[in-house]
Amino acid sequence: MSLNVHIDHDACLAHGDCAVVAPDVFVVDDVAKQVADAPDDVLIAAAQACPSVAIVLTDSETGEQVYP
Amino acid sequence: MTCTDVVLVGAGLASQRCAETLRARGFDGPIRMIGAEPHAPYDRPPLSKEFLGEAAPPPLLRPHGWHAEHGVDLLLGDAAVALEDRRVRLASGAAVPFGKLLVATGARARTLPGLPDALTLRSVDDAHDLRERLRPGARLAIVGAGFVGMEVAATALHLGVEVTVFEMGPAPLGRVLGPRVGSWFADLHRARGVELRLGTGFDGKGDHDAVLTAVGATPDTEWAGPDPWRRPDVFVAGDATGSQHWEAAARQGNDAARAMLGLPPLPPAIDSVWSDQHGIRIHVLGRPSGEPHVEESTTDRLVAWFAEGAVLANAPELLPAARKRLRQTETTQEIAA
Repeated sequence: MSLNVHIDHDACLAHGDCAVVAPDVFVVDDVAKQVADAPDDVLIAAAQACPSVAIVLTDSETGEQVYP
Repeated sequence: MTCTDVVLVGAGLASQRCAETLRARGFDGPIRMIGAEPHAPYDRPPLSKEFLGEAAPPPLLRPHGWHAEHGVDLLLGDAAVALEDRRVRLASGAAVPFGKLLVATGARARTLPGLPDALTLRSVDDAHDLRERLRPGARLAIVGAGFVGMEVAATALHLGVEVTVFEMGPAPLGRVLGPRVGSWFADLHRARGVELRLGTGFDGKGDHDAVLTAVGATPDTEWAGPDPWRRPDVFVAGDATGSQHWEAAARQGNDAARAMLGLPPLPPAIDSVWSDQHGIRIHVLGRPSGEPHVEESTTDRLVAWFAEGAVLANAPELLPAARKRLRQTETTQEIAA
């Protein structure tokens, strides 16, 4: 499976937890931004760490939402 | 000569966000940030959670060097003691002139008259002190079953500590979330092994290695005199306002910067709080008052809807829909008003 990342900028409050879990993948200024690809397990860990649930992961083949 | 310096008193989230927004919006004048603690701005939520379990440096909000890079002068380890006409007096005797001032000195933990020696938890140094006591097999008494008390209870239990919580009210988190949702939290903590004594204060009995009072916090603003923010050049944000939520502090910091620059405030946001207890992520949205409709309630998952709020435990997939629903509620109320 390969995951697409969508960051809901209305929900993101720049907590920065995603950048702590996956510092090579997410940077946080006003809002979080994805700057690199990462294995699915890393993306899932980062999405689960977000207190605002602003990181939405979908299966890139089926379009099915994987998280949240 | 007019001083154009922005002075941010307090070195927490609200001041940090204020500084970031000022720079992001093009303010290029001097910014000074004053902190009573010796630490650069750090994040407080981890202090009652994972930070208690590991010997780690303070969880900084921005890496070392960020402030120098952005022209933010950090004056740390020197508390503000008085607000004078156009300057802030520090404990060291130094006077810092300002053009615009942010009062973001946070809050300090309430203590109980009968427990003057009990630990409290607000700062990273408090967390270090508490961590020292959380040895496997140690016995910890926690007085107060609010968010801080229950998060520490969960963290300490997982470190092998025997935990007893004393709460005057009928349920943990009952004051914030009501008795129905509070009883779900009581079941959660008891099932995991926390001893929860409800309807009672700390009896002082039992051989506890440490006592933590977690009975809320009061804004730490006396140094600035009564209602200093009535002055057009003085602003307030964060726990100093009396609200005690991370997201409120972040937004108020942003809004203070915008107000200093003459920009309108950001559109109001739905109140939002999260907590981690026993590995379960809890989200509280809006104002959970009144009788909830409990849609799901199992040992490790809760979905409770209120007229103007929601409490979700282990249900992150419902958060976007919950936000949408509450936005609609707010809009309806505006129309009705």
